[in-house]
Amino acid sequence: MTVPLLDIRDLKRYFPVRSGLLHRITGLLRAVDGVSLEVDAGEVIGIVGESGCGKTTLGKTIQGIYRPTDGEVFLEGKPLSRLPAKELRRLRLSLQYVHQDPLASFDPWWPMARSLDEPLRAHTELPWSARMERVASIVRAVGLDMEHLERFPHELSGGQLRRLTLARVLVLNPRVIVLDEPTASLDVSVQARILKLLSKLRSEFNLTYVFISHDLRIVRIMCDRVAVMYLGKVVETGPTEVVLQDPRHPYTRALLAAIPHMTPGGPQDQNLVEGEPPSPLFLPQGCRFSSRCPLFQEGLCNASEPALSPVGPGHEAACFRSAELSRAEEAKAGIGAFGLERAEKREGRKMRIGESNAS
Amino acid sequence: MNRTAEENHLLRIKDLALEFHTERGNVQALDRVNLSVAKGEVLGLVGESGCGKTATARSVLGLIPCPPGRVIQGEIWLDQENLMTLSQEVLRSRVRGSRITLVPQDTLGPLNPVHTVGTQMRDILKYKGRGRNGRPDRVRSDQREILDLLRAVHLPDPDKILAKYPAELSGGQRQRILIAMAFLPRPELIIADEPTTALDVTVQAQILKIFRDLVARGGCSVLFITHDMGVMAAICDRVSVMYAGQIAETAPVRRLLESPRHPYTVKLLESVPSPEKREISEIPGTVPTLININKGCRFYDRCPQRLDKCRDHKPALTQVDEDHAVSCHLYG
Amino acid sequence: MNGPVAAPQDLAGVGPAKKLLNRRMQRLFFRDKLTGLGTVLVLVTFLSAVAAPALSPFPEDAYENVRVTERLQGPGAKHWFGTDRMGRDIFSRILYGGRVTLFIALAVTLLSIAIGVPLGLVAGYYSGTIREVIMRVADIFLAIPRIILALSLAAALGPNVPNVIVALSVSFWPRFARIVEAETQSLRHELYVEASESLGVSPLSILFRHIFVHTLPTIIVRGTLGIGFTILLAATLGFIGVGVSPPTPEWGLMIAESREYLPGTWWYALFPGLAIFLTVMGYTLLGDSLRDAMDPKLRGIEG
Repeated sequence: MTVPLLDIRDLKRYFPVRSGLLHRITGLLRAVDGVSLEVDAGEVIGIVGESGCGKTTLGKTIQGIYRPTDGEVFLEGKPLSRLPAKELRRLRLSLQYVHQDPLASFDPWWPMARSLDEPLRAHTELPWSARMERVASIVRAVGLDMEHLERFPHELSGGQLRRLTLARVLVLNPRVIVLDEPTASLDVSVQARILKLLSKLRSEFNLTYVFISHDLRIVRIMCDRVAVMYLGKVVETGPTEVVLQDPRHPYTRALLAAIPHMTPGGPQDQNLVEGEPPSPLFLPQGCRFSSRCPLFQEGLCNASEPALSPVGPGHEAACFRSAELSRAEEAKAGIGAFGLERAEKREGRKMRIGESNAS
Repeated sequence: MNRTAEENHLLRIKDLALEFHTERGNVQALDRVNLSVAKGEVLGLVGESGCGKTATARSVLGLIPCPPGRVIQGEIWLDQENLMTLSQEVLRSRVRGSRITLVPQDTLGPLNPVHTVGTQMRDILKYKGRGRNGRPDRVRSDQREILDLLRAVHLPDPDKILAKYPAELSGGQRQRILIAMAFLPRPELIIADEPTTALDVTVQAQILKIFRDLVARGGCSVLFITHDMGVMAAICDRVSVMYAGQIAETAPVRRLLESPRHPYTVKLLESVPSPEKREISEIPGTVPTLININKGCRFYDRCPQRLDKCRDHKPALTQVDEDHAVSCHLYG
Repeated sequence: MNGPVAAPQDLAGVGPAKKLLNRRMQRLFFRDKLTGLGTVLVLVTFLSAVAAPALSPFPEDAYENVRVTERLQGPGAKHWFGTDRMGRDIFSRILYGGRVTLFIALAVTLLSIAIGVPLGLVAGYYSGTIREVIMRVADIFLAIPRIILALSLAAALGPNVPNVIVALSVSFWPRFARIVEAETQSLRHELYVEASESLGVSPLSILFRHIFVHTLPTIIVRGTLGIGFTILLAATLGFIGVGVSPPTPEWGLMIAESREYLPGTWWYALFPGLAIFLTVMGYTLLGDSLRDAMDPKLRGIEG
């Protein structure tokens, strides 16, 4: 068996909550609470969940912005937390993170050229002219030109800034990029263009993406596999199509049901959940989703926490009652199948973006 | 739609044009905007950022700052009254917050952090409710009305919620309260400015459902601003698509989704990801800056179906079908 | 730091930066008449101190000189501001006194910045023990009123210019450390700092290029205000007798000398007093305006 490019094992990141005059630690916010993922080279893995589910913290902990509380990230088979500083510094170049807010991630007093040059200056001995050449070629690859390099962050549009955040990490020739909501706060027409750019860059630079998003519609377009997160844990993971077609965790179903469909009348699905996620400071007893779950069963779901267990090839779900959610079971029971299925049949299998120019 | 029906609409915006004065020149933020909302109808105002949706809504509320803003022409009729002729004083005391209310996108800013939710809701009835005063029986019925509404927006334990401060509530809970507050004075028109954009999808779905139920119950009209086509489909009866300060197309939501006419609407719908699609397309080019804009169609530079006359001649909003108006030379 | 910093900036459009600067300048110098007054006062006091040898009618009177026949003369054509108990020209002594006073004030402020700013940056960037040590030491100094600390130090060290500078700096650097530490704390949580960290940029480079540069406006404002207050303090020390010693022409010292001859020889105290008043006011006004122009949020803080 080959070693996966990125191997995340039981990663945890807790934040101490301090309060009172003495700043005593009064609680632990379990933002990421034991996440394991394997990512192969060239793959796009989606991390989906609602705000506060820990997906951003997970991304930052993977890249090393946050130190893990527990667990380990292996990159090319090497454990990041146990590497000597020098080797870690070199290896971390191939693992990059792109922030959700592009405007805030550039120094407002720096012109773009300087911001994009910064990583090169830090890691190479190249003279300025050579560095600028590299910056220029990357800037062209993300669809901008030199003129944009002279501007300051507030003088650029959201889409342009987004491209430049990508350019800034690409100058370092990374292998894996953690993309945190790469289309957040963009208009739909611009969003489509950024997604196409991401697909183009992936094949051009042989990239692997960890794609963090709250939007299953985009994940479906972009990702090979998906991991659904709820309150710091992965509740379901598997190939994107399988998970979205045959979700085996009630939370995944709820997320799917809540997507506004492009049909008048809005979501009519029976799987809609009520209420809002509880605070990660006060987790429910047993299964974390039990407080909102339509399938909640007294004595089962609040007794212990379900672990991820296989429900199909490459498909895992963390639910005691996932078997009842299988589509075959549903058909037997005569419950209407998912809206998705019908639509899929109607449209046929369209080719994904980027596959045409993938190697 | 025939003429008399339109005249009966609750809100009618006629040929509204609005300019903003900036250092770089005059921005023509709105150009001959025409739209109307019937009684009990939810009209969606959709478009990308900077297309003029919010400027239109603010004009209705009389909240365009002058300067730098300047209304060049146009009328805004609410029932039998032209809002453009009313003074700020009259708008404040008789229109805003009573006849027209707003559900904002930001949920923390509009609530006063130092008063409890209950105080703020009672204040609405005290100052904005119609013909009310502080009589004890009134106060009791007010309280009942507030609790009713909080139950209608699916807030558990409404009594406890009333005693809380805004910061103690989650974003979804605050948005529910703001919706309840908007319905509280029994307005004729509610303007909802991207009320679900800041919320998670599972909460968004709940909020949309609540909103639909409340509109059906209260019989008021809604001007619903959104950039999300899915949200639009979920909640609106009719939709006006805006592009670069103009109305590109107005149609009932089903017709707009099934047979869009304006090239921009077509491209916009194609660029929306949806669970049914594994492919989305983009709109090439960028939205024009609205300073010293060309005489012709504002979508000209990006339009895949442009004609020669589109460059110099501005298309007018014309009826192509009953209830369906398009501002495009392909149909006029 | 590695490599030259300047190069990539050449690519920066001069246009926007210049426009920004112009707008700031306009706000700075034309909106506010007090700003103009402050600027003029600062410039006049500074230039007259620099050009004291050329401007003063009796340069030899600056230090030790005795003209018995002209003792304690009132203001007149020969001695514009009158003469002191040794018959020295007060106008000349004020001009030379400006050199001493401004030298002390500038030296104290720069020294305090040189000590306080790096400590503040380090304390703000590295939380933990380093921060605690630096900030608690700063707190100890801040807990003692500046005048008392400076007074006791100056008295202990002995009355001369370098000692006054040391005494005043020791009581001043914690203020810079405090404010820079606070700004660094908030700046280090900016997303662009986190982004640079994740790109593997060295902490020293981040601290200097992203954080220090952003604290500069605050440092300049505090420094300008600080010069004014330091002049006042230096004069106070001179007046009490623990500052510089005679015959050095120092404004506080001159007022102290004049006490025996008041109220008859009013000019003896008035003109040095005016010099102190106008100089301090100049720096305070300029500092206030700089603060408002650079960051309206800081309105109301004190040097």
